[in-house]
Amino acid sequence: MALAYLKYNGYEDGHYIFYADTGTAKFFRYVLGEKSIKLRVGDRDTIKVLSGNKKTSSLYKVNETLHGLTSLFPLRIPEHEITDRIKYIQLYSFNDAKNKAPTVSNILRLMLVKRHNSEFAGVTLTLETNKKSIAKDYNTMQNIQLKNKALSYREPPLSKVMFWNALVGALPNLLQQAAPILGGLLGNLNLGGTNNGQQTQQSADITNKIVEVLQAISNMSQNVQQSGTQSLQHLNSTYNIKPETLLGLQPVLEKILTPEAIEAIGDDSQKLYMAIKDAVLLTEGRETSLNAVPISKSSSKSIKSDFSKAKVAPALLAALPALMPVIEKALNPELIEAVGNQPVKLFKAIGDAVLKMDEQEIKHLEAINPGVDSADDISKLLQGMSVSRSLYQEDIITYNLVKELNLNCIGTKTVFFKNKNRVLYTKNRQILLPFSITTNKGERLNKKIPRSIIQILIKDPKTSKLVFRKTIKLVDIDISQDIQEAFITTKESQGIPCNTEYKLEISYIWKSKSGKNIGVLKNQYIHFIKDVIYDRIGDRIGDTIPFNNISVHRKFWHKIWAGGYSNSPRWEVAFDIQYILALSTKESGIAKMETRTLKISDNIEESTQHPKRRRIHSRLKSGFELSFKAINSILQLLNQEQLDGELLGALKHSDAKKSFSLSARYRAEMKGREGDTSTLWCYPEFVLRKLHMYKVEITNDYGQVISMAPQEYIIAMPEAIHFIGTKSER
Amino acid sequence: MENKIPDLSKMASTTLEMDPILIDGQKILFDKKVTLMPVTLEEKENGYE
Repeated sequence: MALAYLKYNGYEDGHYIFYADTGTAKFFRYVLGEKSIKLRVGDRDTIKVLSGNKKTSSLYKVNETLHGLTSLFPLRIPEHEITDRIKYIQLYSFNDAKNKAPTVSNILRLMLVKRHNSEFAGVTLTLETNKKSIAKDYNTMQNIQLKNKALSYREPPLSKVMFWNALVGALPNLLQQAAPILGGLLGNLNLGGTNNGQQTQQSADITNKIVEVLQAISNMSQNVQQSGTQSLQHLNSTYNIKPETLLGLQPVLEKILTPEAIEAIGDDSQKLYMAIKDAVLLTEGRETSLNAVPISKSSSKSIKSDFSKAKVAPALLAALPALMPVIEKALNPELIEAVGNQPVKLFKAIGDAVLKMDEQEIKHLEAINPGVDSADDISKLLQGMSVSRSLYQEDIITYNLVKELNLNCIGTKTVFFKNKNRVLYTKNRQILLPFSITTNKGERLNKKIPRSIIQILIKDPKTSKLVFRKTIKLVDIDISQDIQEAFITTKESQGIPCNTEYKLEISYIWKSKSGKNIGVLKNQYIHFIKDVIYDRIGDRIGDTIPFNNISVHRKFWHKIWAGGYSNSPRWEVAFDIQYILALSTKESGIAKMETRTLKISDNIEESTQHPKRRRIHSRLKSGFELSFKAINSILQLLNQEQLDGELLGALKHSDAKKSFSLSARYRAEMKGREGDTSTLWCYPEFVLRKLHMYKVEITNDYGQVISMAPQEYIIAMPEAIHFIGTKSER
Repeated sequence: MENKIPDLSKMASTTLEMDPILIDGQKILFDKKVTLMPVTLEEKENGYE
């Protein structure tokens, strides 16, 4: 029987090799073409043939001596014959040299596919053909552990960035409300030191800068309001903003934060808000005059901060939006109206409302007044306030802040890291935290304190959650000298996570004449690190690498949906898909997450009978979870150097996993007839990127890192997702 | 047997219809490549919302 069969079998010595079979036919030729068309044959049947610009080979006679038990023979086509324009190949077989009884094979599509070589220095071209069946080979990538797990990730209702952007848009309103409140409450804390001509000039400069910022933001906000996009609720009262009142916070901030800490805060409004809140908690109703302190002062050497006050003002402006959600959440508009133009009353109303809440009340508040869709951010703020309050009341040694004295950290060194100068401590040695006590004018006091305590607290800067606490009891401390007794041992620091920013709070506490606890404190933002520390993921290297080999990359192929519909002659389904890529630092392999669907509409619900065309619209959510160990395996698969255990440890305890929080959205539409089934597959494309780390070079006697060397490695990251829809063949 | 799926994301669905590529015995209808975008994710302990 005559036959025409063609199958691609690889590339060899400048030729593409196919297997051909002509059955009993003795002659054949092959055709290379650009297009494929259907020709009607008889009344019903059609055949596919090549058309358009095509190249037809000479007529060849089959070499029968090569035939063994089968009529299959290799067909070698020179490489130069298959150009970019050639897309198809087809085999014709004939019974004789006069083209009698022609038979045509299926058309094979020829695709020049980029294939990465092992060095990633370039690509080689090879051919792929169509109509192939996908083999399953589970023997590859066995070193990656694969799990199936529940879909445990979600995006917050409104991203934090959008949340803060929305609040910044309302800044003029906020400033009108909040600045007089805070200024009125805290302005009286603005102590001496303003008589100096230079400082007065500096203060005037700051004021002018703030006025400029306010005017610029006010103009921007008016434009936004005119365009009708401003949606935040505005309070009815209006205040005449006095920029000077903003500076009322400055002495408080400088009293509780080191200059390095203020710089580390930068424009992180949430962090600065928490710092301001700490200041309010410590000073509200607790200010202690120096007159009440049993200390006789005498002038000694002066320690003068060279930190520019101008750095405080922009950060302060950035922090104020954090008050807006609290005002909106905690108070109803009627109460705000009743408070009227009394800033201190309003501030106290807010404070009373928030600080008295327990966790359930906070949740209830969020539930009944969703308002801005940022419950999680607000929850953090509110919980931070209540946690901190409870800590001060129950677990932590409480004391009244001595306004006239300062605690000054000594020998603080910063290292430029993550775009800021930061204070880093090594975990490899004991950490010393020396400090001095001075007056606001920088003078030392000649005084011995018989019994005192150093309290060291390390907290999460945004939630105020306590991660470390230590008290050191001291006897007969001469505060005219530096106090060197504060320290954290190597064993103690082991329990504190690495590569995460924390707020270090050092308090020096003693008894007043009346027997009450009084003291001073300073906050510092610090990181604990070991030998290497994660910096960032940088530029990409080369093209994306599709994990499209269903054999090699089998574990990365994810069937997220399979199904079909019966009882209707035809069906159509539309999925709004969200596919999540995440990274787990707890797992060591990869995991395919379950698929969840939520039906939006289904026309079967509109009638009692099955419709002729069933239409279903659903949301579909699924995802894939990676781990750093799995990424190491991927690097190995891509012939890249793997990351060693130290690097993996540093990455695991860093915020690098945030770079692996990714999502792809796509609307997939599929249709079929009754009995047809369809599937939805996903597979990723990875890309290699530069991984920037730092290695500790030099540490000082205090345990501070004073020099780090940048290091560069390569890491693999997911870059894109392929959504593939398939349907059963009829 | 071939195991590698070419990038079909730029190919018209009609072309795929005419010259089907099979996965698990089913023919591919479409291949859409979507770039992953950074998002903020939070993990729920119990795995369910």
